[in-house]
Amino acid sequence: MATIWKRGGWVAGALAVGFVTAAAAQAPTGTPIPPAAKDFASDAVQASQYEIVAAQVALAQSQTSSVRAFAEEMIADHTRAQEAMTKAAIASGLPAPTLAMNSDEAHLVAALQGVRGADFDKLYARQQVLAHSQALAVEQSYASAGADGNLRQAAQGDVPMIQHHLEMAKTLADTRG
Amino acid sequence: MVDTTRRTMVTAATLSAAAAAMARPAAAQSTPTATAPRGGIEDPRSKYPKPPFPAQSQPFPGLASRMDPRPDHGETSYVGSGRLKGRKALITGGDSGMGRAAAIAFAREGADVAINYLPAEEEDAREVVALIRAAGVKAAPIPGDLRNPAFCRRLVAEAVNQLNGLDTVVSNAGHQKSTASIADISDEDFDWTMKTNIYAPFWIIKAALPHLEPGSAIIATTSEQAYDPSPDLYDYAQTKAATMNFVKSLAKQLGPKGIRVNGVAPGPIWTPLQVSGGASEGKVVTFGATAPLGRPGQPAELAGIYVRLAEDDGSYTTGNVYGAGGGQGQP
Repeated sequence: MATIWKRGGWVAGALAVGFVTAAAAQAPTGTPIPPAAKDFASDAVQASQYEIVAAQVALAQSQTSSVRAFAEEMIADHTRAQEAMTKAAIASGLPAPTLAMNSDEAHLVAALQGVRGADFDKLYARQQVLAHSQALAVEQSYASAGADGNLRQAAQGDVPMIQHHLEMAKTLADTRG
Repeated sequence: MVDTTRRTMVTAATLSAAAAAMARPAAAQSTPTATAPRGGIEDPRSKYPKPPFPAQSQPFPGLASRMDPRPDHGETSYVGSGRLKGRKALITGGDSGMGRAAAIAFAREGADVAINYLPAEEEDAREVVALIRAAGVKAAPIPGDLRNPAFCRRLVAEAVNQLNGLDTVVSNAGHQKSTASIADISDEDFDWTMKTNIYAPFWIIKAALPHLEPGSAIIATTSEQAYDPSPDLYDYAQTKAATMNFVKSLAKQLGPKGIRVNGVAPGPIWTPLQVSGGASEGKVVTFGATAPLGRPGQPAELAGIYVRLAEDDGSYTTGNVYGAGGGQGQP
């Protein structure tokens, strides 16, 4: 489960994608450094792809109505978010991001595929809290300080959605955990 | 390494042209002909269906003909060129999945093919037998349950008898049941998996050995699971590790006798094994989504590997495992 943090949107994540500058090193502790436009768009679309695939697993594997309702909402919202982000990227002359998961996200889905029943609900809820916490950090940072106007606007649209998802995920984790 | 370029969409007319070419004397085979399409390039991400797939499940052992989408075993696409002309092969689990893809490819490459399958898989097996015969070679369908040692020995004897010899054994049949917890695996379940995946290859290879002349090939289907097991495949994954391992010990043992032993390690491949209890419901719907290519592999995409490991041109390959993992897993 810790793997998700390996590519977090915080300084560690920025390091991984190579944005470290002298200025960044002086940023106040805890302030996420917005990634480059292309990397942000790709990260955001991948994060949504994980949400969609994980929700598809949930709908096939969970009988719990609150989990299923949550999953339905994830598919609807993240499909919309993916479309909006793709449009924004194209409007800014960037290549359309690939609808794929990164390897950490693939590991999360593989873990979901291996559990059932109450264990599934618990793991799904826990993953959702982590994934949305991470997404929120990335999107908030771009929404406030991202360089590309179109993507910044898309990020600003995503932030309240992700905040709402995170709240729901926490409730789910509290009740299913 | 993998002969995927040979796999091109062709019409039935082209196929019969290719079959005609195959029937020509061996001398003519060495000259490349234009009868069989070759080469080309296709995006591996979009070449075949991608998840999500419709939720589906079948009672064990499952039929390829009832899967949605239907798997591609190379029925309309595999074009042979005489690479296995005159060979005699036994393929377990030859009715569907990778075994079926191997059976179709072997037949179109000129080999006589015996296939083993469970009686419940007769419907799939009949299609394969028809495809083998359409390639102009001999087909020997031999149904039966591999958990029975006496049947395994009879299977080999019957294959030898019907094909008038044996030089290639593809130990491919496998049993896989997804169970989230070791606590829920009964002794009977565990025994079923071990008998099918570990004992049967032992019984079959042991029985086949006296018939295998130098130049013969043994090919075992292992899995990405041998190297990176899923938590719900505790029993199955360890049998695939055992298979990977016996490929290497037998290669050492049989190399001095001129018999090659190799393995094939598939990643997530769209086969009846998965939709008949082998994968969780969620894994079926999102099958292959975790692979970097974003989709499951189709059995047809492994046909060329089995051919390569069987054919005489691959004469220095032994004790090796060839993969088709879609970017995930090893080797």
